[in-house]
Amino acid sequence: MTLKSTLNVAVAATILLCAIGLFFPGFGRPAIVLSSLLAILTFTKMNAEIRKERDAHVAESTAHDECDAGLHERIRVFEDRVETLEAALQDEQASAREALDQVEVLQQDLQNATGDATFERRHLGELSEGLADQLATAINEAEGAISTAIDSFSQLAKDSRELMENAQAAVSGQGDRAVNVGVAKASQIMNDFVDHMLINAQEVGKSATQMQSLLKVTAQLSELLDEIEGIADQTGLLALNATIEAARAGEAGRGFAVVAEEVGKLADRSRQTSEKTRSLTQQIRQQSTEVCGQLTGAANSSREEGQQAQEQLAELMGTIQLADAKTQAFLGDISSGSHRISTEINRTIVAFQFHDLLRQRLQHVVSPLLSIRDSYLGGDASSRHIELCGVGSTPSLQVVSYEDQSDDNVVLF
Amino acid sequence: MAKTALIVDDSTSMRQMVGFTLRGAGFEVIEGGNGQEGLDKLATAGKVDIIITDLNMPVMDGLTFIRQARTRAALRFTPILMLTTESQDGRKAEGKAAGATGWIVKPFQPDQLLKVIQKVLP
Repeated sequence: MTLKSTLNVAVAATILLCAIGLFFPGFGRPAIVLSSLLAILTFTKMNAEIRKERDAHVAESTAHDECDAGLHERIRVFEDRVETLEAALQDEQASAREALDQVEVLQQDLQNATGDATFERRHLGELSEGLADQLATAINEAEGAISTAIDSFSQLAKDSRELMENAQAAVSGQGDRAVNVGVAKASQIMNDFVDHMLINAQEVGKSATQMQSLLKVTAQLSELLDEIEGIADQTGLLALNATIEAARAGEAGRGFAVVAEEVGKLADRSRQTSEKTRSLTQQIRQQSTEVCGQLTGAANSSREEGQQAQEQLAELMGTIQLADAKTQAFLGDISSGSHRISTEINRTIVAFQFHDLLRQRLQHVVSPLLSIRDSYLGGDASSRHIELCGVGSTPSLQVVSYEDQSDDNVVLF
Repeated sequence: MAKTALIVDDSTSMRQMVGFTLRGAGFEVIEGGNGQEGLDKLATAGKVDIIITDLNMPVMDGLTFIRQARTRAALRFTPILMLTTESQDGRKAEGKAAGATGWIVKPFQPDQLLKVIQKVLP
């Protein structure tokens, strides 16, 4: 093999190995190192051969001094060529080193680029999975917290309702209605009794009046007795005169004297009867006066007691009515409180539903995050997370209105 | 005798709130966490007076649940109300076609829910 062909083979081999290093990063460094070694070995070997050949030529030229003047010239030209080749080889070696450095830089860049992309993909996948996990945990924890809160709220609402119902029953229950009926009935009886007492008092009063009339009549009777006694006295005098006249008439007047004596006796009996009658009349008047006084006292007492009882009853009824009014007001308060509790319960139930809407919205975030995770990391990550409902359209939280009482959200088919 | 209601919803809190509302009105309540659980509960209970179901649920959604429930003779005329966040007319049409009796968009008002139930109960 000639020096030129050896050089060409060495250069070609070096270029080929550099190319391999460029296009196959995995072989880049070994190929370039190998090509450099090959070039250096080739150059060393070629240099040795050249020197050997030069020495031979020098020896030959020394031996054949001046034998061939052209030979010196050829040696000089050859040496020039060798120097040129050495310079070319050095340049080539420098180029190879430079190419090696560039390949190393490119290889590093390529490795960095490849590594960055892989790292970013994995990082994104893990980040998505982490976010999905966090959201799923938040949804589950919120669901648990809301569930506990609803349990407590349900018990509280139930207790409140029972409390209000019990209070209402205690105030307006069957037992109290019976008491109210009893009070009304007792009031009626008392009213009737008082009315009856007043009527009786009036009747007694009438009796007293009638007794007073009777006393007046007995007074008139006394006057009549006075007149009867007067008549008896006159009749006695008349009988005495008749007796005197009969005595004066002698035998003729004897029968008349008997009559006059009898008339005198009658006058005495009339006087005696009149006196007895007066005595009885006085007794009647005395007793009637006593009875009249008692009746008047009883009538006055009954009237006063009746009026007093009426006033006390009115006062009692006023107290009962006041208590009833308070009871009614309390019932009104209870009813109002019950209504407020129901309203607040309804508002709270509507407010709690916010969590369900939020949960669905978060699930709409979790689902794409898991898809991102699956696309970067592979596998089916969704199976390891919360059970996602069939993803429908995202619920609109804008429609939430806790005060909306319309039926716009209801459709009956 | 108290009427029985089946509530099907994957949200525990929603089941609690609907259950609280219905129990307050004197209903006996049974619950299912998805359509399949709802069907299982129906198989055990035999017959209920009213069903309230969500639309989007895991395992079995509300529409599938209604279609399968309607195939049972005892539930052919049972009122079924959908209680969901979805309000699109297309979805409502699907609910009607599946056999739903009515459609209520969340959030529901307790008084309103009871009024609707009174309307649809036989």
